[in-house]
Amino acid sequence: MNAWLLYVLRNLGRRRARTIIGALGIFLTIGLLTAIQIGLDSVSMSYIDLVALQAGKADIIVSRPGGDFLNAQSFDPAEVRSRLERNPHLRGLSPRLLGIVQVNLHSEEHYAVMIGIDPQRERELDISGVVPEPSLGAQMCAISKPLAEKLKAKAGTRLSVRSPSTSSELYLPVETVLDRQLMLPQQIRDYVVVNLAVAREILGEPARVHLLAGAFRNPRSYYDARDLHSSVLRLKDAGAAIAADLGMEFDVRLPKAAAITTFQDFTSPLRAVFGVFALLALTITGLLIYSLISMSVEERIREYAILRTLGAKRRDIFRLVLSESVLLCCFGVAPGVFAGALFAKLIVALVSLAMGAKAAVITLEISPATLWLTLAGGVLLSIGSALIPALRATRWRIVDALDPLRRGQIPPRPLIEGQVNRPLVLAGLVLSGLSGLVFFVLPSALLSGNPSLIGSVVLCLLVSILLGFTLAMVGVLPFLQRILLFLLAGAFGPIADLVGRNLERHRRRHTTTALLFTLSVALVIFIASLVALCSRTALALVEHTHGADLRIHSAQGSESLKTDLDRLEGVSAVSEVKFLRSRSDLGIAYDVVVSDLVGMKQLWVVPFGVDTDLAKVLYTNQIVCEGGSPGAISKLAEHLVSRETTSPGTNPVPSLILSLSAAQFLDVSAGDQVQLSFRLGSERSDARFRVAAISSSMPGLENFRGRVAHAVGSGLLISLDNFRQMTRSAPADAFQALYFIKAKGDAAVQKSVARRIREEFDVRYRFGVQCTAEQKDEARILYWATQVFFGLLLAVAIVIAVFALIASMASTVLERRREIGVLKALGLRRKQLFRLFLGEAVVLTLASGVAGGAIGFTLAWLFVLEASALMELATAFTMPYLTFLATLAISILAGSLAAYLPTRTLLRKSAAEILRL
Amino acid sequence: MSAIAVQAQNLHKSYLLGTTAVGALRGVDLTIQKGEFVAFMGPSGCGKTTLLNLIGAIDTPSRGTLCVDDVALEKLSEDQLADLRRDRIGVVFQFYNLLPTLSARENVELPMQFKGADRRDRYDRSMLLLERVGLKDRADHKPAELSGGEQQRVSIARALANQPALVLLDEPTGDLDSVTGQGIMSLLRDLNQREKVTLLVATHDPMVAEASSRIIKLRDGCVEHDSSAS
Repeated sequence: MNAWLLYVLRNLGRRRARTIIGALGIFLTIGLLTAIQIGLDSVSMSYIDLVALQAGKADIIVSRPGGDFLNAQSFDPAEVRSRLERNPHLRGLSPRLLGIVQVNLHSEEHYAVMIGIDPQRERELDISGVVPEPSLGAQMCAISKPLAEKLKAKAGTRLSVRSPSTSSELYLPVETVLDRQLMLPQQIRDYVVVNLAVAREILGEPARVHLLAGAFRNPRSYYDARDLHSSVLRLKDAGAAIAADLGMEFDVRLPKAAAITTFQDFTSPLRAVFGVFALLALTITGLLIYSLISMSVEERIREYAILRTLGAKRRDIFRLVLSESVLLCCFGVAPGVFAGALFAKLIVALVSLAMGAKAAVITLEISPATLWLTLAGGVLLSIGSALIPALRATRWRIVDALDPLRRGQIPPRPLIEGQVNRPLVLAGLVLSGLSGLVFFVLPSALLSGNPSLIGSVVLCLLVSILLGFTLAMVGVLPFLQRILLFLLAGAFGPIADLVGRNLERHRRRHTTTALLFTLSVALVIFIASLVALCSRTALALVEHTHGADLRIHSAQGSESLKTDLDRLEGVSAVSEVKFLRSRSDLGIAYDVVVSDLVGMKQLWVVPFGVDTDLAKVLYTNQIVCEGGSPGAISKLAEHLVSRETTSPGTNPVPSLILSLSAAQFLDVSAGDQVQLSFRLGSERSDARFRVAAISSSMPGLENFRGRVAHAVGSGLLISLDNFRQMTRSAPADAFQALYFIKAKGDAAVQKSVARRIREEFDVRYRFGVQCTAEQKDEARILYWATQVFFGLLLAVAIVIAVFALIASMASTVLERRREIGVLKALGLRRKQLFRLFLGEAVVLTLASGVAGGAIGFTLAWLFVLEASALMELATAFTMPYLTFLATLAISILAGSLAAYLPTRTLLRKSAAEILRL
Repeated sequence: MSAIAVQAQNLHKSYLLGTTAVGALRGVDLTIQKGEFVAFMGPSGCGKTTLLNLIGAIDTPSRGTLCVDDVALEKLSEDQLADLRRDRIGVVFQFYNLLPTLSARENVELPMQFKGADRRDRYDRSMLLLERVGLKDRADHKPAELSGGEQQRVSIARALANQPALVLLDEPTGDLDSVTGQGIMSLLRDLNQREKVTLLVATHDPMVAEASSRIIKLRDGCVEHDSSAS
């Protein structure tokens, strides 16, 4: 074996504990980062399948314009086929019929969505979207599991399927019970899948279809997992070409492209967060390696001098140090990559399990590029971290290095005239870089409106602040240590002074450890604060978004719906809120403008007509009023808008509640009057209203904001009667409705009401139910999953920092072996000697812990401040005291461990034995 | 090629102790012929080790000129100095300075490795040298497993690895008992007489001085007495 390599290997073996610590630190970091990278790669590579889970397997859906998904107009498929005959993008189309049917079995009757498909064609195009796949022979059907449970039906059961519109009824045996469908929105749970011919018979559609689902030729040329944005653009181009061929009579939808965009919005910030974490984790590991290699260099200065005496050159020593670092990293990197891959496999399996898929929906993707990247990253990390120690190793003159007594006597190199002042250049560049980021990137990012870009820039700035604070705090550490020493003087007794001197003496070595510890603790506290904040905000956000225990958004609304809901068991009160569509199915659009009485300022707004029950059902604690009070909601119906023009003062003026953003734009306050104009073509309804309250937050309605920037399209509340009066000339399809429901009890009651509504109404009335209790449960699960995941990441950061501390203390003990012997010979007891090292380690970790905590808190507080301002959400910063106390406890424990491990055998020896070592 | 191994003219060396400059050598003039066995003697702090360090090219003079094996050291670059140390100079330290992680043979092989010698040659030569110093059977032992005398002998074998013209020894018997010291001295004498290796020894030990062919006494950084001149 090469003597150099042998020498390096033996050196690593000589300091086995340090090598193990270093390799473990690298192993943990690389393992974790590999797992994350492989996990993200696997998700990216399987994303077409993942997207299909939500959006269905069809690349394109062709339908008639207007109507909703379950109320699509029928059309002649031959017409579409003839127009798309020569389209190069399209591989083929498969017909689908949709309708609402009543399914009966014995006395059970339920509404369900019926889907008629051509199974063979769907299979040909690989867009078949039901699991397990039925053959759907003539007069057979497949039903969803929830419907089967309601009907108590199983394979072979004969069902009656009847269309309410045609009254046509067929008896169909159940071929199979379906686990999953990929053709309709996932919230539709009760569905029957039949052969196209059967659907035609039931729905009375002999030749026409409701939808044509299509597949693109060579899908791999459209979907590029590595570049989602380009994938969406390519899909859009293909969709646009098809839409151009089809003309205005048909609508083209790209469900997968839409899902990819959502997916991208989700994964981009996630990648950015992991990127930042990876950077910090690598920084912490880099500092650990730097610390270990620095110690090793410090210890071997004399050996390097001997090598140079024997003929080695400076560059040989440089290479020697670097190769030691690379070798150390290799010990950690190789098993780290392996463990990371295994860990990723476990995560992927767990994700598949969590998604309820029988087979793995995410294929484990271990690309050679990832492995090479990780290995190269590890090697680069090792070289980068060891550069400074390696340079330091070559800096010594041989004679100085050979004589320990002469070390430290090298005068600093004088500044040569014309020489570059590196620290100034570096500081200047860093300052300019950061300013450049703020000056050029931040405005562009904010103007782009791209949340992932904004998030990434904000994260980068936060990391910069974190690093800046950390460096500043490390500078303040000596002062902090002095205070702690003063406070702990009683515990350490006469050796407190010696502890202080030793801390001062080993300041340079301890600085790296302190930096590591401070950074890790700051990261822990920052993330813990954010996770706590996100948890609270997420729950508040669910309440704010839903507005009440249950929220129903109905595209059409129905006169009988409110009464039906009111009658349900467990419902305490129901409130109906009506508002206008931006554009109706017939293309009718209302213009609603609010202005001050002199017409100086006018604003396009979204009015909501609310009934008197709203105040009973809304989460009033979520209402924020800047003028007036939430009680104003119940007074909105007190006065009606007069049909005739009357002289002022004869009729009382009705009230409205205005958003703060609109009020600020119009410069009006509570008690002032405003004019509201509803315009529909030449039709116009004008009325004056008194501003009863001004709100910057109205639960369940997202249009109530505080900033003038959000004034256009902001909301206002008027009574339902006044709303009807003002929109009397509007066609029925111009309206949408929201129903807010208050349940008679706790979360369990809310959930049971939601379940009952879904079972009885959602298919019939075609709406979705949002249940606050269910959403809160999901938010809590997400919170715990996030906390566990971040906890894992942070544990790695802390463990690495503790490793560095132990290694640093071990080196200190080794260096002071002789001194320990002398102190023992002078009469210092074993306990006192242990306390000497314990004091040094505990003061160091405690000071770093306090400093890191202060940084973490400050950063989290700044983040909350900014987030509150940007999101207009009332977020309160609460210190994660428990986490902080736990971190301090860990600091003390780590300090004790770092003092105990290196001294445990040494201190048992006699003074003579130690001196002989 | 001249017969002069070392030639120093007006050699000065001063150190900075805190803020005070201390002169370790103050104008040393010296000529040493090849094959000589020279003992530098004098009290502690007289400049013996400093002179050896300068001759060994591990330190640079503050003033004056120094030629080793006909090469003016001040004209050499850092790398050329390293090559000179590797090829023409062997150094034996008082505390042996063996690399603790390498075996005796591996320690001896190191200078040859720096020179790029073939693995087989390195092995053969190191075993030969260890045999010469009487440690062939201890070749695979680490320094910690060897006695002081054995370590010093390994150190001598290592100094001879690349067949240097000049071997510098700093207190070679200073840390050894008299019997071991005698053994070392007989080894050195043998080297000098049989292989005509120029030996420069800094020592307090009269036994070493006795074995040498020339004694140069230093005091306060100057040559006080040179036995060859008298």
